[in-house]
Amino acid sequence: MRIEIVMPKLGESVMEGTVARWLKEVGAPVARDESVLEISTDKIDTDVPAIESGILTEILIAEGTTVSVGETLGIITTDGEEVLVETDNIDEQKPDQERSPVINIHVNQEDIAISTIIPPSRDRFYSPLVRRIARQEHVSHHELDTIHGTGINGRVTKNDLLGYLKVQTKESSSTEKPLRSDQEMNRPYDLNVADITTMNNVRMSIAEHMVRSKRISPHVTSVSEVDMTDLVRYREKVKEAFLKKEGFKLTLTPFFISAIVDALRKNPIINASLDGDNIVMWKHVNFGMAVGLDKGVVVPVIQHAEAMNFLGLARSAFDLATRAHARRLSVDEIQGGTFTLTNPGMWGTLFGTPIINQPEVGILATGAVKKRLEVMEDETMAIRSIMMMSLSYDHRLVDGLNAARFTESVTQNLEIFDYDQIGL
Amino acid sequence: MIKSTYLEAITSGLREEMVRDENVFCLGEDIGAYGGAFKVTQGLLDEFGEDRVMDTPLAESAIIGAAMGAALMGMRPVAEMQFADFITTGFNQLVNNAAKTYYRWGAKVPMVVRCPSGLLPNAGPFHAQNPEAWFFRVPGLKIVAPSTPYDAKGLLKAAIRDNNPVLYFEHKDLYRDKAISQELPSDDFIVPIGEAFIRRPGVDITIISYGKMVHKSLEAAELLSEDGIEVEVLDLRSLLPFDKNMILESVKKTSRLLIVHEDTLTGGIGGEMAAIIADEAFEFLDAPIRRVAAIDTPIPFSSPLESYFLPNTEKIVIALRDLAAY
Amino acid sequence: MSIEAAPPATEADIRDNDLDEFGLNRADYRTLFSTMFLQREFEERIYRLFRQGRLEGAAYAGAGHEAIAAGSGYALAAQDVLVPMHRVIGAHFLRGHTPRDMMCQYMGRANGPTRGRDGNMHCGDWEKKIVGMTSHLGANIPVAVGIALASKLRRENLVALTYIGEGGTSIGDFHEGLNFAAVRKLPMVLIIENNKFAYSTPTELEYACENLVDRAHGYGIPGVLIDGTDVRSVYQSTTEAINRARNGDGPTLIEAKCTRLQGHAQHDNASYVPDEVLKDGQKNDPVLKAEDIMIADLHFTSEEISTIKAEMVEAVDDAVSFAEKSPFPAPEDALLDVYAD
Repeated sequence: MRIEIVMPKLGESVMEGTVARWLKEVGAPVARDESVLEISTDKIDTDVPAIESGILTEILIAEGTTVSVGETLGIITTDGEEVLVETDNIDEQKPDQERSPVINIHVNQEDIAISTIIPPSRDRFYSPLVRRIARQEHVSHHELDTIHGTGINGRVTKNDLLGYLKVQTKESSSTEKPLRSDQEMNRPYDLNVADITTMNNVRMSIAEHMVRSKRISPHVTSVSEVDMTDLVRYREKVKEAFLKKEGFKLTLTPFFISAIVDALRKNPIINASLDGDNIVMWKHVNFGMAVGLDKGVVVPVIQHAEAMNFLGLARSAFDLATRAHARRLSVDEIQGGTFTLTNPGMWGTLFGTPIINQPEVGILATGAVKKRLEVMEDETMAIRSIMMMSLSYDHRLVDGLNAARFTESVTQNLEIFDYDQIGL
Repeated sequence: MIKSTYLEAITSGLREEMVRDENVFCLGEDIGAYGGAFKVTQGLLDEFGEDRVMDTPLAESAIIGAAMGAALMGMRPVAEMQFADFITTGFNQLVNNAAKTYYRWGAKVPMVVRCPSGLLPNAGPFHAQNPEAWFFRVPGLKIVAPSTPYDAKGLLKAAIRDNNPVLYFEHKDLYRDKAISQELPSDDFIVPIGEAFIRRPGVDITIISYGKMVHKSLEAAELLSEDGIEVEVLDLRSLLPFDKNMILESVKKTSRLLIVHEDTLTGGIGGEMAAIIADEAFEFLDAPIRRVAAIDTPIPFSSPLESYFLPNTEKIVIALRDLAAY
Repeated sequence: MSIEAAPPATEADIRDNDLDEFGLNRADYRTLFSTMFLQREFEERIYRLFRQGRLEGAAYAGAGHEAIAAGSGYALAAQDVLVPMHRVIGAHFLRGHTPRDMMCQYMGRANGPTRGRDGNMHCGDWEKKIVGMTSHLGANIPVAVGIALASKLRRENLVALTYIGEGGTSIGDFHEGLNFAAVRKLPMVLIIENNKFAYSTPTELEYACENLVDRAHGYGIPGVLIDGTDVRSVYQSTTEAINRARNGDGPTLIEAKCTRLQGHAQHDNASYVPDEVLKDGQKNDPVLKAEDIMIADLHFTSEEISTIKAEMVEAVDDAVSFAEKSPFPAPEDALLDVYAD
């Protein structure tokens, strides 16, 4: 049985001691309570008696060495039964307590879904209470940003948020349609006629957004045609040079964006939002381009598009679309939009009736470009590339006249494009 | 039902407990023939004799220590500090002896120390303090601070019947305040230690307060009501232990909290409560937790200094309005 | 070893049952000597355990105080209350705290008198009428006063016995408590254990009067000056004071002079004590003096003495092994019992 000789703690503030003199040699027998060595501390010099009889088999700390209280100085080996060596090390007595407690943090899946999409706004402060209510009521941060605040410095208070939510529910139909799609299907079915999976977060988010958008905005969709012939020819002509120069393909998209941004500048009511009773005329055009992915739609936003030239828009659009497909968009890049372009024409659709991306008031869908036989102004016939274009707008704010002016502006811009600005 | 002032409620509470239990006795300076500096014990000497209404030498440490010794023996002493300010000369007996005895070696110390506390006009630095914060952090002590005659009587009885050392802070300026007199039941009643009370229900802001400041808070709440802001006033009544659940419930309802106490700001018990609520009700707060308290100075004597020092209805109203607008 | 469990009377004890001039018989002396030797053996063992690293905290032995501890403790009746300080562990033994109890107490075990809540001899047990001491020496004087007060108010026949060092007489509570007891003629006895040093402070830096017992006159109470190394004097003077208190004549101040034979605590080597003081103290070692009385006056044989000593050593051995096998309290037990129900 090995018994440790330890440096004793002889006073409250004594933290260490020095081995002054070993009174026994290695191999010497010691009797119980016989002094084995002398130590000295700040407060007192004294001897250390053996706890049990045996042989001093090891001297671990040499004379003149200072060690901390509790350190092992030497070993006495006894034969025979076990001797209890209590070293007062309370940690040893209770090994379970040494492990620090495992802290269980329960994370709400829902919370992650929403908060990973949108981080706290840099500009506005939301109190813990407001954030909690927003989270529980599925009010995205984007939406929070649009709520009018009556607190200090325009802070959104609890009552502001609750008021906003009340307005949302009031505007829904009288039969209290729930958000998202927790509307149950009325058709019973058994499991061998269908496979069932739960919607993932992205899907749920989209579903919720679509229902809400339709509930909030009275949608009107107006359709017009654009003669894209010149533009299509131009593109054909320059596309190789463009690819060589820029490193990516020139599509019709930047033309659309450029035309629309200019039209928005001329028709600012389309680049606005409604906040309760307030009309919010955005100072910038933050242009959203809808990108279809397998999972669903994502709308990256070109911030301050009005300040970009064609090439800037082209590059930006390409970059965002690429990263959208690679799922590498940052959260900043999918918020703050003031108008959205969607392109169902890419898949051959003639025209669509798109749903407004809240809190915007307009969304433009470009259809497929089709070669048609057209009757021209001078009443000759020609084969032209024609595209249908549909604008859904929020009739709370936008009337037919505004909408018409806007689409006319877009049409003009596309039919008579200023190719010089491209610089090719 | 008997109409009582705050002071009369204390006297009758003492008296009833002394009748009910022969182990209850009073000790303190000038409490016998003189009836106490504030006349709380007036008449008790005649009724119970000098063994049970004992005039002691001027020796707070001995008073409190002897109370502990008598309590160990199974008596229920009610010691009086002539002014709460003088409790510091018996601090060690309370904090190191009485408070730690049951924990250390299992002997009960059923004693009460009555402390007339709080500001009387121009009482100055040594006759007006609210010392509860010194004791709030001593496990083993209990602390109560009634604001109404009903609570004064009920809490005193509860304190006397409690098997732990209890500090009983009676606010001197409430003693004879006719405005708060109440009809008290003539049969036995107690107010349990550890329970708060909603003096005024509201929805917009919660005030937590105790002692005389409860009444100032109620005045302020009335004024805010004229502006359509309904303030809930929660009277703590017990400071240690305090009614955390009721506080949390109220804050969850109103989401704005103002703590009001007559004690000075820094190190006053309001800070500890604010920390607990910020921790446990963080997601229910729509505004920062604020406090209205006395300024961090010794208590000045001259009237203009004193009124600058003290919290009052006006200061509470300003704080409430700020909170409401946040 | 409690009064009830005193060592069994031997034939010689029964034969020689008469009380001597100090009011003690042979069995009493056996108990007194056993207690004193037990205190000495127990506390030396405590110091040794510290040096072996087997004890935590601090220890303040009463070497030199054994006569005060045993003599005064023995004078108490069953209903009286002991309010001890730190150098009278012998009185604990007499009132029913066993060596096992005290060793578990020192070792912070769950089955010690304070269940690990306080250390060394800071333990009390109301059922044994022992009040747990506080480190603020003197703070328990007003508590003893309160106990005596309750005794008087209830017309009980109970006396409170408490102690203070000559250093502790400087604290305010000494004055406040003694004055209160004197004014109200309370049944209390206060023994000043004057061992010449308050930690390292000698008496000339502690008080200016010739003898501390002179202060009794200032309080209007009797004062008695005794040799604290003579167990008979201690027993006799304490008995008289207790009787006086029981008769309603109020408190007595006893000053018992002795010498502290070790440092203030186990970490103090007391190098400030002048050699001649220590040598004189060792010459007047109360345990040796008691042994002399046992042999010379009571005619105990050396075998009987050896047997007593061996029994006490065995009691301490047993206490150590029992305590070292005893469980520690569970960590979360720290939260329990802050308040009584």
